[in-house]
Amino acid sequence: MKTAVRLPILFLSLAILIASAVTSNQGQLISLYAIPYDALRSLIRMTAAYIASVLFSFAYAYAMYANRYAERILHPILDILQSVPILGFFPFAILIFVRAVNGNEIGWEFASIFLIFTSMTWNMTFGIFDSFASIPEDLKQTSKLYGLTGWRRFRDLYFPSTIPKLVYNSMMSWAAGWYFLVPAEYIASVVKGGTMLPGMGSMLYISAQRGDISLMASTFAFLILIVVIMDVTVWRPLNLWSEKYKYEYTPGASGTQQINQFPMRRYFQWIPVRSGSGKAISGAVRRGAEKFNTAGHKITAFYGNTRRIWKYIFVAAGIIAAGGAIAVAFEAASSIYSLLIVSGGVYATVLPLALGLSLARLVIAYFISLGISLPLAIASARRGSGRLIMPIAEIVASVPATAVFPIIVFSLIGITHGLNIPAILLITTGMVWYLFFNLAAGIRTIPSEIIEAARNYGLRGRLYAKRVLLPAIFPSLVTGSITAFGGGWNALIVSEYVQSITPGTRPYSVLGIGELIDRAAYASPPNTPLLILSLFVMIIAVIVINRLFWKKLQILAEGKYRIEGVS
Amino acid sequence: MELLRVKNLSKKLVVKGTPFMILDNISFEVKERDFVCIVGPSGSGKSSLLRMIARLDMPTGGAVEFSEDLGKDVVVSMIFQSFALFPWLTVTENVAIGLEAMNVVREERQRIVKRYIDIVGLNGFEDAYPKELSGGMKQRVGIARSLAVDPDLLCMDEPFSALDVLTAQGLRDEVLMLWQQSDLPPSAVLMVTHNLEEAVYMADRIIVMTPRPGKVSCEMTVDIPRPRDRKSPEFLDFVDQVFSKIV
Repeated sequence: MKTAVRLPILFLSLAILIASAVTSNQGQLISLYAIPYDALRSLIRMTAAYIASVLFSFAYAYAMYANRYAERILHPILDILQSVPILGFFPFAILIFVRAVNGNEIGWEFASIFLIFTSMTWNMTFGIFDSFASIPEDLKQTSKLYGLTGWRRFRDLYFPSTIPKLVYNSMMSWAAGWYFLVPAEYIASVVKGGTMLPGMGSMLYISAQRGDISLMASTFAFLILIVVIMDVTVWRPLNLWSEKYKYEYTPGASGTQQINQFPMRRYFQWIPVRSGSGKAISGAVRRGAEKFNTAGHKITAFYGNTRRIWKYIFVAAGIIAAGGAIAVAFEAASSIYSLLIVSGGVYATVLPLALGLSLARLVIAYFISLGISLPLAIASARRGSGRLIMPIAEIVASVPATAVFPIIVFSLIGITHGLNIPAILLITTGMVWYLFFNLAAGIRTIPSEIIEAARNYGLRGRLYAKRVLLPAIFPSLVTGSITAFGGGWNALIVSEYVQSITPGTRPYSVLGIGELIDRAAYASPPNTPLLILSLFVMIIAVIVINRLFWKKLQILAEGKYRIEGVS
Repeated sequence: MELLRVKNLSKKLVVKGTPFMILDNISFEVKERDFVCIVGPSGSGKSSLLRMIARLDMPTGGAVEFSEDLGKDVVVSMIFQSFALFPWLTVTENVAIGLEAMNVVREERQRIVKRYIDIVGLNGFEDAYPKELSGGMKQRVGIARSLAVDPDLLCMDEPFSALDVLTAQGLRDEVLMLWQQSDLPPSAVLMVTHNLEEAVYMADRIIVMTPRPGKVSCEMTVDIPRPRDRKSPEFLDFVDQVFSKIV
C-alpha cells in the first residue's frame, strides 16, 4: 500500500466510525446498531489506557535507570506486578476509582481503563528500561560533551533510544489490551451497584450470554476490521520508521544490508498546513519543556543537587509505599484468616491442587505453542512465500481470541466432555504469539556471516539445527518462553472459566488457580479474601519458577549463547 | 595448471523494482599454487564475487567452473572479516565443524583438529570459547577451521581488516609462511581486500575492480621477489601503479 494513503485511510475510518456511532446509537445498547458506538467507546478506553501506560512506563523506567538504589526496589516490584493477572487488580480498581467517586459511572469507566492499563504497561516499562540501559557509553558521553541536558537530553538521546522497543511493545500491548478487553469492560456490571459500560467487550460478553451468535460474530468481525486498519495505518508505518533508530555496529557481510527508511514526509504529505501548525505545536512543546526545565533547575539549585532530590523522593515514596503495603497486608491477612476459619481449611487442599492443575495445563500449552511457533518462525525467515508469514502473523496476533472463547468451548465441549482440553487450547492462544515473535526476531538477527560460515562448511539438516540454529536462537527462546508463560498465567483467568452461550446455564469451568480467581472476582459481592489468597499463591508460584528455573537459563543465554557484533 | 575459471559472470539484483547491476561480465582464471588478490573500492562487488565462487550465492549470468580433475567434491573454504566463529562452540569444536559435516570419524577428526590447532599456535586454548580470545586469536581459529577441511581453494574476505595494525601484519606473515609450505592445503588462495599494500605484499596476481557496476579493470602480476620489503622503492612503486588503476 502506498505510504501517502495510509494516514488518510486512518482519519477517514475514524470519521466514519464517529459519524456512524453518533447517528446509529439510539439508546439500544445491545444490538447491531450499537456496534459502532461501542467500538468507539472501547477505542477511547484503549487509547486512554495506552497513553497512561506510555507515561507510566517512561517515568517508572527512568526512575529505575537513574538510581540504582531505586532499581533494587522497583525492579522486583515490576516483576511481581507483571505476573498479576488483570482480575487481580480488580479490587484495587474498585477501591481507588469507584469508591472515590461514590459509584458514579465515571468511576467505573476509570476502573475499566485502569484494568486495560494493567494489561498493557509492564512489558513496555521493561522494554524502555532495557533501551535506557543499553545506550552505548560513547553516545552518553558524546551527548554530555555537547552539553545535552534536561529536555534536550531526553529528546535527542533517551527517547530515540527507546523507539524500536517502544514501537514493538506498543504493538504487543495493544494486542494484550484487546485480549483482555472482555473482562476489563464487563467486570463493571458484575459487581452490585455497578453499571454496564458500553463497549465491544461488554457486547461480546452479553451477546454470548444471550446465545446471540450473529450479534457476537458481527461484533467480532468489526473488531477484526479495527485491528486490520490499525495495523496497516499505524503499526506498520511506525515499525518501519523505528528501524532508523536501531544502532547496529555489525559490519554487513557484503554491504548489501539495507535500512528500510520510512518516508515520514510522504506519510504526512496530505496535511496541507503541516509546516505551519507543526511548527506552532513543536514550538509550544519546546517552550513548555524549557519552562519545565528552568523550573527544574531552580528546584535543583534550591536543594543542592539532583542526586539529593532523588534520594528525598525515593525515601518519601518508600515510606508511603511501605505504609500502604503494611495496611494492605494487614487487611489481606485478617480477611484470609477469617476465610480460612469459615471454610474450615478446605482451601488448604484445594489451592495447591488448583495450582498444580493450572501449571500442568500451562506446560502442555507451552509445548503446543513451541511446536507451532518454531517451524513458523523458521519459515518466516525464508525468502519467497516465507515473507508473507510475518505481516499475517502480526494481524492474527492482534485479533483477540478471547472474544470467541465461548464459541470455541461450545463447539468443542461435546467432543471433549469437559473444559480441560478446550482450556489448554485457549491458554495456547495467550502464549503462542510471544514465542513466535521472539523466535522470529532471534532467527532474523543471526549475523549473515555466521549463516554463511555454516553453509560454507557444509552444515545441513540436523547438524545445522544442533550446532547453529538452536544455539543461535537460545537467548530468544528463553526470553520468548518467559514472556509466553507470563501471558499463559494471565490467560488462565479467561481459559479456566468460560461463559456458556446457552442462555440460562452456568459458565463452564475446570478446577484451577485461574478459575478460583474468576469465581472470587465474579462473585456478588466479590470474595476478596479468596481473590487475594489465590493471587498470592499464584504470584509466589510465578516468582519461585522464575528464580529457580528461568533465571538460570537466562544467565546461560546471556553468557555462552550471546552473539556479539564481531565474534 | 588451471584450477578455477570465472566465465562472463554477472549478478543483477532488483531493489524496490529497479534492477541493479552488481557485477558485469567478470572473467578470470586461478591456477594451482596461485595467490590471487581482488582489490577495488567499496561497492565494486568484490565480496559478492567471492561468495559466488564459494557457492554461497548464485550468479545471474555466466558461470564459475572448477577444473574437472578435482571431481565433483570441490572443497572451497572461507575466512571471514568478522571471523564468523560460533560463539557457543569451543575452539576445538569450531575447528572441527567442517569435518563433522563431512562425516569424518571421530578419531580422525580429533587428529586433524589437533594438528591445525598446533599449526596456528593455539595449543592451550582448545577448550576456550571465542569470547575469551583476542581478535588475532579468533582469526587463527578461523584459519585453522578453513585449513582443516583440506580445501582446494581458500577464499579470504578482508581477513585482516578487523584486526589492529600490528596483529594484522603478524598474521599476514604467518599466512604466507603456511602458504609456502607445500605439504599444507590449499591449492590456491583467493583474497578480497581494499588494502592495496596488503595485496601487493601477499599476492602473485592482483585483479583490479572498478565499481558500479563491478567490472575487472585489469590484471597485474606482482613480480617482486619474496619476502617482500614494504619499504623498498619497487614495492611502493607497484602500490602506486595499482592505485592509479583504481582512480
